[in-house]
Amino acid sequence: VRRLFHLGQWRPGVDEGVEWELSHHFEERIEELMVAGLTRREAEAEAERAFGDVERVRAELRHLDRISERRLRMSERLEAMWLDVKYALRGMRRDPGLTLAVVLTLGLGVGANAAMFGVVDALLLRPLPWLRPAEVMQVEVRAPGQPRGMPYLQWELAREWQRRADFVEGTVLHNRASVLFTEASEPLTLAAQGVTAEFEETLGVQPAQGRGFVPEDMAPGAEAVALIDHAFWRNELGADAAIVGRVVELDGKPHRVIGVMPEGFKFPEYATTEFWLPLKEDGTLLGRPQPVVHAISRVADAAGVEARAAALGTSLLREQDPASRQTLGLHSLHASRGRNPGTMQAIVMLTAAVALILLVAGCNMINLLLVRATSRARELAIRMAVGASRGRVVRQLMTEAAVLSLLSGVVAVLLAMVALKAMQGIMPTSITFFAPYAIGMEGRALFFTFVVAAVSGLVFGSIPAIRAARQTAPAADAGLTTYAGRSRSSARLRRTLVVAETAISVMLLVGAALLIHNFVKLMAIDPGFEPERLAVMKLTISTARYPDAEQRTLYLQRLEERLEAVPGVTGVTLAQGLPPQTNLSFGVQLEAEGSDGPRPDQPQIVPNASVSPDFFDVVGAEIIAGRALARGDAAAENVVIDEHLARFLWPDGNAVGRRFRMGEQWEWSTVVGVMRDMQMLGPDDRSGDFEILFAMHEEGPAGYLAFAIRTEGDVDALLPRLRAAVREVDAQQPISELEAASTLYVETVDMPRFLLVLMATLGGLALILAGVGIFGVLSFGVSQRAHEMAVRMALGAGVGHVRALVLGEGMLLAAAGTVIGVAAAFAATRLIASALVQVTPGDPASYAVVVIATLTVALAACVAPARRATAIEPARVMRVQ
Amino acid sequence: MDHVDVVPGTLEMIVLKTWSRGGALHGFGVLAWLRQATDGELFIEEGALYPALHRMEQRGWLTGEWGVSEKGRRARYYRITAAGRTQLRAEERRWTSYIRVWERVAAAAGGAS
Repeated sequence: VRRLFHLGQWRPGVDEGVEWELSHHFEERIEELMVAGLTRREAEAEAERAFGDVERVRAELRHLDRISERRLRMSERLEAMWLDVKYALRGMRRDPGLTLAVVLTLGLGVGANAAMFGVVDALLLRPLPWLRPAEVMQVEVRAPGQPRGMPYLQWELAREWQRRADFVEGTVLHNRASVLFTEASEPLTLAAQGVTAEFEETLGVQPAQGRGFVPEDMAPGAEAVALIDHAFWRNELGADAAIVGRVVELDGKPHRVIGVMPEGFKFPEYATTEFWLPLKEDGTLLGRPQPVVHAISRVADAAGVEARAAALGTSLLREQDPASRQTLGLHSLHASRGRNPGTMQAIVMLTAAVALILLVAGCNMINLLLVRATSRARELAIRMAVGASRGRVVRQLMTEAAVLSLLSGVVAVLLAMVALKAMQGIMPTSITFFAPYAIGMEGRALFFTFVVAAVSGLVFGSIPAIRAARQTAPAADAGLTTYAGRSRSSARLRRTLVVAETAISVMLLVGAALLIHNFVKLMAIDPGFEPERLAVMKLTISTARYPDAEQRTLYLQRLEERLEAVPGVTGVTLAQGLPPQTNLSFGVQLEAEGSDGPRPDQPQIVPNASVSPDFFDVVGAEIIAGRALARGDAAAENVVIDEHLARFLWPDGNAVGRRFRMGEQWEWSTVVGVMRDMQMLGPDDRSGDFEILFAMHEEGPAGYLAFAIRTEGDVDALLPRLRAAVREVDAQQPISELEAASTLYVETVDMPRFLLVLMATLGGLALILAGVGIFGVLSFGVSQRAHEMAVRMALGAGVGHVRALVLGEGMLLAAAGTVIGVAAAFAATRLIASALVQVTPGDPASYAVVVIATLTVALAACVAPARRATAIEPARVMRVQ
Repeated sequence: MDHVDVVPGTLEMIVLKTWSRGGALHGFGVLAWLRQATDGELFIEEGALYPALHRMEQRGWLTGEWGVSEKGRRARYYRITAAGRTQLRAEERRWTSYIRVWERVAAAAGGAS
């Protein structure tokens, strides 16, 4: 039996083993039977009889053994993998500096992508918080042949659609209103969305607490009820457990809360809404008629009902107006979400940037692992010499890469969380406003992070692993010698990687520099008014509280007087719309009287405001021709326009006293004065460079109003006093916004600022990584070439000469990278061009700054290795060798 | 000769019992030992033994190893494992108590069949 142990290595194949075992049985059995006196033939027959069905047993044994074999192989593989992992961890502990460098580098690259995914996922990818969101369609009025239209429907038309569109699974009508809410810590103007009874059914959502709307709630005389937003309930109402059934006052009228919507529910998809209220059968919301509303229909097969929707739309619109040529169409909200052009462009640009950062990180990781593989060549060689196959060594190295990428994934998640937190303050409203979800790292983003970490870790890890295994020759490297040729090819790869890293960081930095230069120039633009020491206060005068014009006029007068009386205030003016965030008119057709109709080359959007006569003094606008608006100027009749518009309409330069209109439906306005160009939407006012100031209604303006308040000293210090003044006049009047105009002015460029901060951060990181890469390659080169350096110095080469040698090598790499990077950046400017207003994508100053910065960092990275090269003591090095 | 067929579900217990003395046995050895121990009274379909051995190996009750027998033949040797012993003890307990119960039932019935 002892002898068995020597034979432990025997391992026949499955079929072979079965045959061996069976034939052993028969040999023994036949022998036994023959000893008992049977002939060979008789013995064989008896053995088979006693055995039973040989074929069946054989098949069964084969089947069983095949299963065993598979399990065995699996457990062997797992065991080997575990060994590899243990070995990898041991190796990483042995070289903590390098491990940390790799994990941080890759973690940085993956983390940037993870944070970006967090944003993109919340904004574009995650399904909208409704049942089967792809089926939810907005009903639009379309001009014939147009793919898109406007989602504004006359109330009667919308009702008819709701009644007659039998090819949709339900239609909810809705419209927005602001309501006065006085039960929080301060009076608030909140958003309410009026919806018809089909609300829950059409969107496929149920309130988290309480009930939804029922048709009875929609009767004109029914008790006023409200559904409330989850976040508002939690944050402003202290998550009151008894909220359902409670009565709250909205616009001064009691409303019974019937339910709380689920957390994260948004409708409409882009806006924060605090209350959902009945849009009643008679088309009123909060008792106010809603002549124009929106309609949302659920359609399982939008393409299939398109023709029927268009046919019904055409006939409905014809019933209203027989001359109408318009129709109705369905537009998927799901497909178009976040498709704000500015946002999409930012996302494309930043996605490209984080992908590049990952590439830089990958280059660095390959570099670091190559250096390590070279220094481990001896260890690998020994392992191969004692019988480890090349595949085995590659697998070992890949396991190390996998362990590293897992750790990097953890680092990436942490970095992404920090980055998103830091970004919160500078995230442009155009992104946060349209995001149907809070931006953050949750399940999907975590999954994404680890997938990216694993894939990039394995991709970047496989290159050095394969190279290391291919270059290791068991016999030769077990000794101390490394073949010059082999390490030279590896050095070439390392240099290529450094050049690539430098090039990519130059690309990113050029982008950042262009954005910075653009921003600097934006901020240097003359605003056309004086935002310093100016406060802007916006408020909505509720017609529920002040039903008639006289009351409103009286209230506003008292408020203005009280504000003027605040110490430090030198002037106050009331307006509808103020720079730098004023009102807009869309779809205008500017037309000078007596011209051949509207010129085609005009902007679709014109910023405007209705102002009081003292607007010009308080805000600091400058009249350059004619006069300012005066008391007694009629609302739409007399206007002040800016110099650009004046020149556009009357190129002869003579605008004062002439008339123009904003479209066929508009009345003619007479220009009483021309003012210096004003940035009424902030400096990045590509959307509209023409400004129009109307005279404000004298009597009882309502709705959204604004005060401009000129101060002597620091505005920010005065804001609480202004707030208190409003409360003194009417404690129930909410302030929508009270801010220094200079703060608002900077806020208008939050997108350019966001882009430049992100690009500068990414570019800076890339440059640091590239610097580390150059440093690494040179340091390693110097240590590898210590012998050569020593010989050179022994032969009389000066310190300067040897240093120049190292510096030259490093700067050559940096220069090559810079040249390629500049060329690539130039080729990629299309990605960024649309974000640049004030500089051209080829802006030489930006390129120059980047080239200088890159070469400076490269030079700094070369200094230490160059010093080290000359610190070599020839005698010692040569003795070791 | 009077034969007793293996009661279904007991083959494994009987086979495992073969290793009471320890050591390594090949399939034919198991058969030979059982025949000797029961004076040939127990009837085992020889062909059924081998799949049973392989199944027990898969369950971790036995380990198999290739070796060369005393007669110089290639044979697969099996040893019992700790898990196999535990299994054997459990099965034995189950059967002894079953037999005890049967005896009491038989005694209560007065031995008349």
